[in-house]
Amino acid sequence: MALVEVKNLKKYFVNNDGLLYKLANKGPIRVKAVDDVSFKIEKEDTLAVVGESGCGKTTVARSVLRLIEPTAGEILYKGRSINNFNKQELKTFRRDAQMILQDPRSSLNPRFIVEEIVSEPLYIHDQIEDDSNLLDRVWELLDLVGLSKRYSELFPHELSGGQARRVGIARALALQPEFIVCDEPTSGLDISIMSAVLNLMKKLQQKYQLTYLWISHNLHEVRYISNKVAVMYLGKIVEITDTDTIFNNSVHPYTEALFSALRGINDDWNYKEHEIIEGEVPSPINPPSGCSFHPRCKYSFDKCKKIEPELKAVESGHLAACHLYN
Amino acid sequence: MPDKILKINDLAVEYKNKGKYLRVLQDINLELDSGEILALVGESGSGKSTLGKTILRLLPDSARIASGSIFFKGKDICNLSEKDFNDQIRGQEMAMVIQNPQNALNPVFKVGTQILDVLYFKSKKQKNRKELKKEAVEILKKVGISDPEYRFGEYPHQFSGGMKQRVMLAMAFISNPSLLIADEPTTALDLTVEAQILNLLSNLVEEYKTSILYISHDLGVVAGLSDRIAVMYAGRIVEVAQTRVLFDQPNHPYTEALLNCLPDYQKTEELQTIPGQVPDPGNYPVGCNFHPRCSYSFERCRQEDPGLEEIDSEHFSACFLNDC
Repeated sequence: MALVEVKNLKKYFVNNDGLLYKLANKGPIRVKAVDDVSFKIEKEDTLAVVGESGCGKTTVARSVLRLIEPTAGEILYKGRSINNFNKQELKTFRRDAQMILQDPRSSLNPRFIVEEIVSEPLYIHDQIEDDSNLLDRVWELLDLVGLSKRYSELFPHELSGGQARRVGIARALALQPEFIVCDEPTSGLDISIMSAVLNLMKKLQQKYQLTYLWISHNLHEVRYISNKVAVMYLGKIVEITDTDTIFNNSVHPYTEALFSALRGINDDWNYKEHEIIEGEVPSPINPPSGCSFHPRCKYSFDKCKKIEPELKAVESGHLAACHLYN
Repeated sequence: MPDKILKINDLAVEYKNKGKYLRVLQDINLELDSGEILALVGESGSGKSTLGKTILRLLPDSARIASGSIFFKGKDICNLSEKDFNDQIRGQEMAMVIQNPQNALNPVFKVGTQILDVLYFKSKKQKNRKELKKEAVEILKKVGISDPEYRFGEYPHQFSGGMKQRVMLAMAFISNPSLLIADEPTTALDLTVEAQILNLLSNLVEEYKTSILYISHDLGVVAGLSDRIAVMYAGRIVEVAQTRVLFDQPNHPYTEALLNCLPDYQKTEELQTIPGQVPDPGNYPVGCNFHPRCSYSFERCRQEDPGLEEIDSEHFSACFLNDC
């Protein structure tokens, strides 16, 4: 049984507030942030969700943790629907599933010292029997993420970006979770610190058998950390398969376009002669008809403009939503 | 040998902090040929943006040039008066594209109006704006903005990030500058849009024969863009080499460490990390700035300061290991 299973998740944001909208009588604006997304994450796997900004990656991440209520669809955690959890079950779920947020600084309370930040989850979940060894527990967690004891007395503004990120990771680990949603955990970090965070996350995964849902737009990092990749475009998954397959044998034209923009330092090439996909991601308020990628796709034909392709298996364990393949 | 557009000699820059001057740039020596793209890479706090701003004299009042000189087309621009600099250099011969295009465009004026302003001042206020409109629309079209007639009358918030950066590039190239300083112009953009902008930039450089100082922290980007790379660490340039040479035969231990910890889709082995942290300005160690984090450091690194020396043709490095 998969640890996390998402079935036909939909999240529409509706904006019908504001006097001007009402006076103009245009009706509500509906943004299909996530539109019919399904995937599974097996235990100890890392599923990376990649895509450009506005494709719905973060909305998926937040829905999976029930930080926002989905418009439709179901999210199963260990086979049980998290949307039907009662208060007690939800609290257990909140303990087992944690999140590392995108902005390392704004996700730490500026009035708390690191010790308070890291130990707060322990208080909330009544995991403290004896106050006297609390500091030892905090030190242990800080040691795990590579911070020395003296950091426990510092405020967030005294930390560097990399240190703040490590505190965020220590806090997520405090309750010994099974599942961690990582929302761009390395964005804005310098290269040397980024590699340290990536190594740390990989080491922790092996040590505690963690399962990750990894949101990112850095494909180099995705290659390093994940074993499954889902590519999203305008609120939909267009291709999902193993990391090796997506880097070597991807089939969807959008995946191809996205990965063709990816270059390593060992590639001999330059931007001048490079063929680059044209256009930008359309607005999710008014997505194109049929396949939402067709206006930018060099292979598009008549059917693409009219009928939306379904996510179907190209081969075992490799799904793609493209008319070229079904 | 082509002419040097820019020549920086022994430049040092200091910031005033609590009554004391902290040195943030030290011993900067750099040359830029005409039509060349030089990438300046380094981690945050290494002083790469400060160097870019120093060249264009955009430093805040709290900063000063402690020593050294900057020659632009053979002329010392450090001693120009502010008025002369503005009339002759800034926006005429040198232009800049900054990281966040949202902050560079005025939100209350139409995009077209802002382009017209640049054209109007370029014509030395001789032509009126109506005459220039056609030219402005042409420029928008050239940088790949679809439906330029219509877009001309829109405001910056109606443009996407990529389109705003296209407009910024258009405005920078209007005066046909000899030198463009690009400070991480694609950091806020998506991968595919980034590739589009860099493709546009490469083509503009070829057409206008402009030299570019490209400031970035992304080695993957500069690999496909630049002719040469200068690596900065803690206010100093530690290595300068041709792009391919730097990646294939890095000389300085910092460059080597940086390349080893860069995640790359072709690399499967475990990433290396650099122990310790970038030192704060004003708190630089004695000797080589990198020695506390360097795995090769020896006694001499803790005492003396290695200067940038030519170790191979057009390959400069500041490391005592080359003397051994």
